[in-house]
Amino acid sequence: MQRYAEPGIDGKESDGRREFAGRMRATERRGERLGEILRSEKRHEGDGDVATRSEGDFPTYERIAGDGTVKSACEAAWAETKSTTVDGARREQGFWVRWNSESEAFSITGHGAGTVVGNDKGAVVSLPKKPADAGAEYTVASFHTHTPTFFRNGNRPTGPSAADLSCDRSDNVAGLVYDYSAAMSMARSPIDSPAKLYSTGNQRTGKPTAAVKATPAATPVAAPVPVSV
Amino acid sequence: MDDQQAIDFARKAIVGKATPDDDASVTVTREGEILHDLVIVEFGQYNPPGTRGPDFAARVTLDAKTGEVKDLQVG
Repeated sequence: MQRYAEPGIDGKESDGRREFAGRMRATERRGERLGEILRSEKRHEGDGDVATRSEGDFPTYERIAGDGTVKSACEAAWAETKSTTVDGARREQGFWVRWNSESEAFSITGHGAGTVVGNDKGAVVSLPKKPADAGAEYTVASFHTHTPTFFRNGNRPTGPSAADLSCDRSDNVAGLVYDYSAAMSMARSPIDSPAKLYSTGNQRTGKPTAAVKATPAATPVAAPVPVSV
Repeated sequence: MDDQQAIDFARKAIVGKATPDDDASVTVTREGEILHDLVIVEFGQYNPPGTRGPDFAARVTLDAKTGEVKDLQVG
């Protein structure tokens, strides 16, 4: 495919144009991989399992990422990821997000840190075992950070990898990833470059089964009794 | 260039940038609908089950004729 590698007006590609073309091809390939996984999983889920999700289901990525408790924990983990990055050593951080179907509150549990890796290695993280559902408490999302490229000599594509998505599919949870905002984190990029939360594209399927607290029934009002005088 | 030459070029290109595991898979693909003028060498990254990690250790895009590095990404 040469869609992104067409020659310029003078018949030659500029360096910037070639670099851009390379990045676009890589991004396209990653998108195709993620799409393949999603399509494959959807085929196994049957009709409408993902598309027809409604209010009674598990919280969506948007709702989880928008929660104050979750947001604070993600930002703290990102700050810690950056602060522990030094020349020759960095590691990812992660945790699980729990949700209470009765109170609708989110909480954080199972913090984990990835193996410390050198500048020439990709960072990984294995979260502790996913906490089992208990009563109205459900594990609804995973979270992990990616790492800075400030001390690295190579450019790294940002956002969730196909492997990240695959884990979330396997764990049946939504996935949150904190990474730099640019499509590519360039070698030697400043550690405090703009960053944001990404969704891996997965969502916990099924429905909460815990009994929901019954709303107290209205006290029946006695019919007026006619009073004879 | 043949696949082995492409791998050799790519291995030189990633020195100091990425060090794939010794047993990492290496795949070579060619792009360019007519000319096949780009060769992409990808050094795999093994993520054990349950591990969130990158999709590759390094990916190098080369000019198929000259071996010039057009793009290099690390995982």
